[in-house]
Amino acid sequence: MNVKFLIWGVCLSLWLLFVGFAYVPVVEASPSSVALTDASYGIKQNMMFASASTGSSSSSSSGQTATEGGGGGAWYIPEWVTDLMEKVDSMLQTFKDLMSGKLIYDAINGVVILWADDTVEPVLDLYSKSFLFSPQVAEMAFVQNAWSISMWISCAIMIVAIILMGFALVKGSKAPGPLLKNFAICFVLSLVSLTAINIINVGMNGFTAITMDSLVKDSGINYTNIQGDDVLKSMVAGSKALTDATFKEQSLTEMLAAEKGGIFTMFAFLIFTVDTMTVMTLIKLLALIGLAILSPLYISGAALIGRIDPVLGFLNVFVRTTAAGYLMSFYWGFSVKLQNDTINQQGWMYDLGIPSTLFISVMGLVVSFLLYRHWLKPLGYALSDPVTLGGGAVLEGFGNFGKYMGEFVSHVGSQFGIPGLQKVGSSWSDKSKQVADHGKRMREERERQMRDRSKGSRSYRQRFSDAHADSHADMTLEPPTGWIQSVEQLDDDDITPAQFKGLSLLDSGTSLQRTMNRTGFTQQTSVRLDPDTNEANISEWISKWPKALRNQVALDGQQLTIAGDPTAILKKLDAIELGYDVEASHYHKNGVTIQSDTGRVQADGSEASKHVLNQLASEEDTFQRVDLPHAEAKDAFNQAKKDRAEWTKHAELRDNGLWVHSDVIEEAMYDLGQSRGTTTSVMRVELPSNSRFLDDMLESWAASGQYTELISAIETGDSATELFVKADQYEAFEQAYDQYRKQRKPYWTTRSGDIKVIEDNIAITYGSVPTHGMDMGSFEKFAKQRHRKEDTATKVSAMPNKETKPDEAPHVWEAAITPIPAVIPNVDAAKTQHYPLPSQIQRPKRKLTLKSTERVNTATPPVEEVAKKDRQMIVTDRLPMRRAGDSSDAVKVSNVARPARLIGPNQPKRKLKAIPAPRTNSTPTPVAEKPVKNAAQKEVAKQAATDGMKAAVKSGAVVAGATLVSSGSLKTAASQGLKAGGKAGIQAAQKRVVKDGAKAVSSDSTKLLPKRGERKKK
Amino acid sequence: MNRLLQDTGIFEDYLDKMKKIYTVDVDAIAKVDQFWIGINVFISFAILALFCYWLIRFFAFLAACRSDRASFRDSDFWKRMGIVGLILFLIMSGSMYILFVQLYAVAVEAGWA
Repeated sequence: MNVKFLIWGVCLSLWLLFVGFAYVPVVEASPSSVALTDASYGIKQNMMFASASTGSSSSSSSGQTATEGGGGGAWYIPEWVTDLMEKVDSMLQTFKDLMSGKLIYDAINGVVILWADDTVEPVLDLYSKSFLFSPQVAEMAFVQNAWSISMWISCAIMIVAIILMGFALVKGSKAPGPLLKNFAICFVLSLVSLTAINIINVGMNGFTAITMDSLVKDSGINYTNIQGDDVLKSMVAGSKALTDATFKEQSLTEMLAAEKGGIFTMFAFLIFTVDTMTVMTLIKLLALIGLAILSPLYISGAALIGRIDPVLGFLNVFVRTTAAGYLMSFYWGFSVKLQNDTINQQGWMYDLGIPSTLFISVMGLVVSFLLYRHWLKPLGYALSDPVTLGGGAVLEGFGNFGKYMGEFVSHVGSQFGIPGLQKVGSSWSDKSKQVADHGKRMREERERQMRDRSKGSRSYRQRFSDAHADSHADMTLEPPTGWIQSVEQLDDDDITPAQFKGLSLLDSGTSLQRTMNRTGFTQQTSVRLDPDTNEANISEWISKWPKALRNQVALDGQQLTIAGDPTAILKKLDAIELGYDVEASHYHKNGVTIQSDTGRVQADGSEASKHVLNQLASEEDTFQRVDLPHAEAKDAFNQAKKDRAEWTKHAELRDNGLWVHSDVIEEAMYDLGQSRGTTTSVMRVELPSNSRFLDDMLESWAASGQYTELISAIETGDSATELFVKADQYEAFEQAYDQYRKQRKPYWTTRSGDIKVIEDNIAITYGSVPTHGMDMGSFEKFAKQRHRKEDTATKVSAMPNKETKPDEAPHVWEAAITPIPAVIPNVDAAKTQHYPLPSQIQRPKRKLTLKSTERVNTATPPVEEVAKKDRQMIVTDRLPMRRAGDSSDAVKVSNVARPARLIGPNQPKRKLKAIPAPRTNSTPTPVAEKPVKNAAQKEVAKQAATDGMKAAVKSGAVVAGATLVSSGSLKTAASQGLKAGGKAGIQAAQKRVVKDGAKAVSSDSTKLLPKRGERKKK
Repeated sequence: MNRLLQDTGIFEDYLDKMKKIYTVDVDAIAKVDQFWIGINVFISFAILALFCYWLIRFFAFLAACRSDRASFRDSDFWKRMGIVGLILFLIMSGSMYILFVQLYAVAVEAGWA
């Protein structure tokens, strides 16, 4: 009852309330909410809410005034209802926007745009100051200071160098000509370097301004004074962004978001253009400042070491940097032009309908790629070689360019039948080729040096003295004498390495199955059914199976073959309690079979199977079995474990033998091998240090075909100057080496890429590499060695224990086709599911007296040879058992077939050979032996020629003048003059020869004749 | 080319900026004066030694000529001695700097700043 009364009461009071308010005058709602639909941007959305709220508050006041004036409107709807309805309407609108995602879209857009604006802001100053025009670096105070200091340093160094040169000049040991010229030019150049840099810098800016003026074609823009955001805005809105004030109010990101593609265009522009150009501008700025400061040092450095490449490298980097700045501003100008065209609805972009801002963003990507390729990369290369800044490569590039241009001109000449042009072109091309070759040698020598440096083999002091080693260039140098630096005899313990037979994954059960599934093997299981079962019944039973299972099996009598995973089928067999016996279970793939119970791998030797085996070896753990009786293998393994051999951690002793992981097999081979009880004598020969002809020599011997026996007895070492010869072949080696040397001209390469040969004890520059040359390596190193009079006496030293690489390991292919001799009962699969690694213990290095620096593949005899010997064997010249990506040995392997190792039975024992004395007389200058005059004779001849010429000119002129005066005929005068001149010249020359010639000859003979004592000895 | 660039009117500003000679800022060097003392002393001694050596060689040559061991007309010798003498004169008297100052003055007269 109470509830009923309550409801009635509430209803009544509500009615009274409604009636009471109905007498309040009706308000007309002002349509301020029209603005609601007008919002288009997220930013304005905020304003929209603000205006909506102010609108609604003002609506009440205006509404009241309207009612007082008796304005129109539904009189029966009270004001608060209209208000309520408005609010409900706006709520509904907001709800709709929320549901359709518009609200979120606008909100996110607004936030992202604001954030993006924040990210751009910090770099705007950089854009206003350094993007369009390179800043005038010479005007920066700190650049001037730093330049002054480096200028002063280089000035002081050059004055010191000039004084030292003055000593040499007074002494008469140097010719003044080119040296002084170099110094004078470089001195002046380094003084004016900052001025020159300023000229290039400002000139380039002026050129940029002209380019922009012609690109943008909007007069009245002062390009040097554009704000950073205006620079970027004008790439979006054209040059109007610079002149029109309306664009000032919008931020860059707002403008971008208003473009086609909205926020994505904005991101593309920000990432591809703004970000990349920021980085490039920054690098440009740093590079310009660095180059301006260091310019005097590079120029004076070039004068000091008498080489052009530091200056070339410097110029290259500087020109590229300024050009990069120009390219960036050109990109800007071009973008503004494109935008102008698009806004004016003209130009090819408008015709094709390409969105211009997106296109400009992509263009930014292309420009940054170009900048990277042609500016940053060369810059990085130059920085990697801070002394010459990669000047050799620059010269090479110039030379190559000139060569192609010359060839082109020559082609044009031949095409149009202009022999003159053709000739000019080809001579140009030839000269350029010489320049390119020189540059290449410079670069290669420099790179070699850098490689040496990175190895850390040279001290800082050495490097410093090397940098000035070119002063050795015109010094007197004796040719090398010690053609064999050192010889030592080594004993090579003859060990028969252990053999390996059989390959296995040493895995079974589900873990093997997982591996096999992963590597794409298919399983095949053969099951022998109980002989009592009826084949017809079984096949009928099988036909009732699901199709997938049915397809897996094939029934042949009592033999059931299951392809794929047999578990489901075996369960079915179990379920009907049918007796069966699993005969064998294998995994197959392309001729490779893996037993599921032992993991034993077998292959048919086909190409496909090799591929599978390689994959297996590189991706899975494979093991090979040591071909030893079980007891012996066990002993050896235990011994090795005691010795803490590293490989034992990856080996496993099973009932069927000792299995060693394929990766460590090389180490295991020698530990498990047996000594034959013999030792081989090997001579270790050290060729002249730094020489690089060993490879060429061995190649030429192999090519000649007369040293087959010798080559088979030689192996090369780690360095390019070390080789090992079997002791019994050492004499043959000496002879062959002498022979080789006498046919060739030794040459050295200087750091600046010149080829030097030594003739008459003077190092002279040879135009190119001699046809039959012998690469002796770095000239500077040789000169220094000579300078220090480093004795290249032969030494005999005790053989150091050197880390060795053992014999070649058997390849997986071989292991997979060799059967295991004994059939061993199955191992319990559960025990060996996971291969246990023994505890981590280290062992000391075993002392091997074996001397061998085997390169893995060199030991493998040539493919055909082995193939002939054993057709069954799979032969390869691949590196054995390397994991994919492991190229530690592959680096050393050259493509030249090398002689095989020195291990073999019945090596004749040899006593230690007497070490040959250094052969001082065998100077390697096999030049054509023409009668060469000595220096004194040459001098006399020169003087005679000078005298003759002077006399000839003098008397010829006198006679000709006299004849001309007397006869008046020019022709007669000339002929008479010539005749008289010739006669007088010959007479004067003869006089000189008579006077000084005898002296010169006598000085020559005293020099050449051997002393009495020496002759007697002979 | 220059005319062409000037005609556009844009390049003129840049041309003015280009015509400026940057010389060594002596103040900047004076700040690290102690650093130079060592090398200055070395240069002074070296130049003195070179001068002495030059004189010795010169008089030795004259003596050799007198006793007919050398020819007075050895143009190579005179050339070398002349060059070294010039270097000595330029460095010792400081004429080198005067030379550069003169060159600078010439450049300033030609409209450089």
